[in-house]
Amino acid sequence: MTPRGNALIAWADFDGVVRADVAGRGQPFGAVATDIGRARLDAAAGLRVAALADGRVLILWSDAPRSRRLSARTPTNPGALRLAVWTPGRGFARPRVVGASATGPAVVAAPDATATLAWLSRGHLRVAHIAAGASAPGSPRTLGAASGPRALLSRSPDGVLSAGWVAPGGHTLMTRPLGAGAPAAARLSFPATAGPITAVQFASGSAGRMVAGVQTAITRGANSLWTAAGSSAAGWDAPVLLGTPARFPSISTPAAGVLASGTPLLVWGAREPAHSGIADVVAASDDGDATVLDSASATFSNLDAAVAAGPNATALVWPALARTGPSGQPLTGGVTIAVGT
Amino acid sequence: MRPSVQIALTLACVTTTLAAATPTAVAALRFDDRVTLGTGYVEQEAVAVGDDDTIAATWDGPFGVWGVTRRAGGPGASPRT
Repeated sequence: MTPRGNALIAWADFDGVVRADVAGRGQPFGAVATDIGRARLDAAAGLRVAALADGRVLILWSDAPRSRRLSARTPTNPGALRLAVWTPGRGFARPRVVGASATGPAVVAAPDATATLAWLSRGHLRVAHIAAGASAPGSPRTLGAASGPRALLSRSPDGVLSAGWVAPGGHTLMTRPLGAGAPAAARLSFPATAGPITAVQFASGSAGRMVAGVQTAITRGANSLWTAAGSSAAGWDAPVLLGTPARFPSISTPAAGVLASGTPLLVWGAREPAHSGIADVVAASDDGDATVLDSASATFSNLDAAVAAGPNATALVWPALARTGPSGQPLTGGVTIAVGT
Repeated sequence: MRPSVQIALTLACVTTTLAAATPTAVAALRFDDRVTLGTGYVEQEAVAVGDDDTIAATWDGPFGVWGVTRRAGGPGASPRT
């Protein structure tokens, strides 16, 4: 969402064409999409969007070969890092290559119309800054050695930008505020017996408060889900195991976000005991404030909730259980959009 | 472990392990303002909130990518593919 009220959606179709659609303030999305460029990518993992304070929108992706695995979340083959800029009234400029051999990109905008990009390249986390009014980033700098699955960026409501990445070996999440005088990187380590980190979410709230949701996997499909709280000054507390390793875990991968109040939170799905396909939606902040937001009305298999906050409202989206069959199985799905103010 | 037990332990674990700072931050958010759109099987949801608290949501569903905008407390626009 831009400060002018435009909402922009970007995706890649099955042919690898990156497309976008823009809705004006208070208007629905239109039926005609704009082609931005052609990419061979796993769109689920690669496309990132950020709205600049000057009304422009950035779309960032790594041009990685598309995974053959259905629902793959993370491209493992690096490609060119491409940046497309949408300007109100002018549309999209031709995408430009802003990095090489990239995977798992991230982008976040700042109130001063600048933006920061991060991506993994050749075993390291790279970070680059886009100045106000510019359409391309400056020279990237390297923050540290990294392995998959992706680069992380989170800007707190009080303006602190932090980066996150998984250290080589795959058992430690590193987070570090960016900027002069920032504390050293904080380490969140997981036991090697849990397997390497395969998915990670991280959010920084106000006053340095942080939460992380991490998935580890001993083998493919045998996942453990963890949460952790911490602060940028004192580092991470010990992680809390949410779900024990299982072929079909009972806890979905958490989504991370920040409430309008500045409190960081995680949202995840917990499988209902009597119905394997039905889940509760649960949220927890860094202060032990866990609550069931929605009981037995979400589908578990695809529960990848999303959370975002504005000045007064916090919005959650999760896959809804629109109707159930005689055995309680979900027959028809949908989405629930829930707003708290 | 039965899922029902596991869920209870999950909540207890989070509650006891993480230090209390703002006890009502999440619980105070009731999220009573809800709409459910029965569009069929969905995945890869995303949401954003604008400076005027306009909400834009998108998801991958039947027939392509869906998107909708709505104001907090107001009616939602019809989702479009």
